[in-house]
Amino acid sequence: MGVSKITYFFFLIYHNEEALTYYLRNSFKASMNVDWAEKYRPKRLNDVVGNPTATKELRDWAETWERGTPKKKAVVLVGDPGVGKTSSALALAREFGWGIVELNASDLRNADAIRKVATSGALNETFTDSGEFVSTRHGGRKLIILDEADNIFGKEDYGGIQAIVMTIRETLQPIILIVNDYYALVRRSPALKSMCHTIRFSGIHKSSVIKLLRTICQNEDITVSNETLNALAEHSSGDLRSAINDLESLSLGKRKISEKDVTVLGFRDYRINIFKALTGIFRTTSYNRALESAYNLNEDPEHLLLWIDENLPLEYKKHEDLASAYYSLSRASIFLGRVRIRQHYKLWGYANDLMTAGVAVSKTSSMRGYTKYQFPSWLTKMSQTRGIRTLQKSLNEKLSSHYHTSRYVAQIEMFPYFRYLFENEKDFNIYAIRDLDLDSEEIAYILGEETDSPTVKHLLEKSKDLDKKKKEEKPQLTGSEKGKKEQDKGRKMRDTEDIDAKKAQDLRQKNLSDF
Amino acid sequence: MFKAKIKAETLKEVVDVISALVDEAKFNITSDGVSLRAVDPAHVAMLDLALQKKGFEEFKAKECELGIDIDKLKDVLKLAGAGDILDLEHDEDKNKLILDVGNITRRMALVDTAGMSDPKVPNLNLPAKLIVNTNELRRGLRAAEAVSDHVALIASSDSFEMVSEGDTDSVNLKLPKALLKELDCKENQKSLFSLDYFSTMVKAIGSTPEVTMYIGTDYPINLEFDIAEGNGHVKYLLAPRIESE
Repeated sequence: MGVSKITYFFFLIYHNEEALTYYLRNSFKASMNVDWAEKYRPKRLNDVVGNPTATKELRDWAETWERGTPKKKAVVLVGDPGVGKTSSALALAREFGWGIVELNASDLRNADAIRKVATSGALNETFTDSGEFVSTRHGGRKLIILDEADNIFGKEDYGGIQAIVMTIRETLQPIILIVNDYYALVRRSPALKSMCHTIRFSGIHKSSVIKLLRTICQNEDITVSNETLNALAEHSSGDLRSAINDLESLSLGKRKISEKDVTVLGFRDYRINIFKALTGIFRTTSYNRALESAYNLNEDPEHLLLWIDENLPLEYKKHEDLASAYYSLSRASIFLGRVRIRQHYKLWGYANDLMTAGVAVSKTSSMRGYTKYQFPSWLTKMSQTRGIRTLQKSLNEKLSSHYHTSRYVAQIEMFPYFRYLFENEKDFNIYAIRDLDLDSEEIAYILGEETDSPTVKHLLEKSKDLDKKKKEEKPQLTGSEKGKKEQDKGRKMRDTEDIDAKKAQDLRQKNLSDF
Repeated sequence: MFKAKIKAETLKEVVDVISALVDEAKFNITSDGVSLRAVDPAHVAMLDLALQKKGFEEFKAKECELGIDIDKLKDVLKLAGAGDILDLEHDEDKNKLILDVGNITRRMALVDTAGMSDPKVPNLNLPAKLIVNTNELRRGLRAAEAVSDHVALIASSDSFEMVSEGDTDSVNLKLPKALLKELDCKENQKSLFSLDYFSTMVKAIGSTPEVTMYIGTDYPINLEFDIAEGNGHVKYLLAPRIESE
């Protein structure tokens, strides 16, 4: 009884299905029992509840392996939690008599670990868990299952995705990747898109959920009314595993479950992806519903704002709607800016309301049809221009520290003139290169040339020659020049610059008069 | 119940054999000794190990199972010097293994054995049997590792051969019957294996001078050798590489 109370308690706190499953599984192991979701896992593909098309596709793929190594050596099973992806993969292996090698989120999945387990598994014949030897020569296979493959990231899983791509390329055994978020997987490795056959699993229909729950109740000798089952199924919103878990946690220590018990469950916290959140915001006029779409989204507000910004014009067609929605969005952006500047995260709440509910209630007519949402182009462009922006930044830094001004002023006010002088004024460029210590890339950027163009090379060489000449001249510095040098040195210390004082002086003498 | 004393060297032999394939293992303990069977995570190789009571300095036990993290055991062994004797005791209440090395006591949490498989050793009927010098085998593998990641083991009626072919180079080790302690092979047998597995296994053989091999055609290899001065016996099974069509 102790176990059940603790489990139930944890459930109430977290409403988190993964934690619950884990908790249940572990506590039941102790009492030599398995949780129902495990106990009632389908043994054969035909027993998998729901998704008949997907399971058929999976079987068809498995059959291609019976005739040798097929073109698509891996499949990706995509779908929300609890709709039968892992169950189908396991049932498939059992039905075909294949061995199973499983790597899930609790295992270390960096490049090394994946090579060690998945790659070696993929290239060699198999001993099953029970110790049987299965050979591909007699149709025996080993199914390599990478569960939660969209969660392979971070420091500890470094290089994992690349190792998976390599494994799929080389494998002589079937591989199944299981993901909730297809987009999160292929974003990390677009190559996977073409290498794998994708099979989508959808939420399980309420009637199927009820049917299975009823079978379980009969087996476990639990009395339950149709209304209760209906409420449980409703509550699970297509997530069969959570429905079974709910049923199990409600029935602990009881023989009868009433409809009232179900209300204890509260709201299930389920994570949704960005596309669903966008639909939720764009297609509703309800303040609360729009807000909720963002609650369950695991994406920070700044990102969500960009997504809404990108896709708003694809959805809202009326000009007035669009204007009003963008007004809300811009107000949200102001709040996000304040969060950033003041580090006052309470303001996120306002930003959230404005960008979700504000956008949702801005429309006067409802939208229909399918819209393909786009990835924020601002992010794409920023990442494409990263190289040129770092170049600009370093150039502006050099300019600003040389001319004792901010980087912003250097960029906006000085750079155009600087560029003009650089291109047109005789010898200005050679001195500028030496004194600002410009490299070939920066010169190329100023002149709009290629890094290895003859002009760039020529200029660089000339400025180097200048250095040589300077060295020869150095011993003949006159007294007055020395004085100036010292003066400059003082200034240099004040400004904590690292520019050679001599160079600064030279540039001032020869060029700054041009300004 | 489990209470024993064991030489650090003996335990190290055991640990080396196990860690070649798995990080965690379930030790089955009876009043006669310890045994262990495991399949590696990639389901490519299998291990069957038995250590008799005589392999221990002292041994008192009733039937039980201990799930042990092999890396932890390695850590403890690093503390032991040559000739040290380790005290092992299972604390059933706390489910811990208590190890004494010199004046150090390590209380080691055990791993849950519920999820660990209990494989049976398959009956493979491998047609060729030969006994090879371990050092000879090691040298051959070292040469093979330089050119490729797999190796073919070939047994015929008058010799044993190991052939490794890389993209540009190849290596082959040929031992005629005269150099083998035993060779029992009627028809030619040939199987291909991943070098990383095979050489890890051969490395784990330790100081045992000879190893018995059973080979078939496109079938697993069975490597057998003694440990703990003949008081323990190890059987490694390695599944062959799939030769691409």
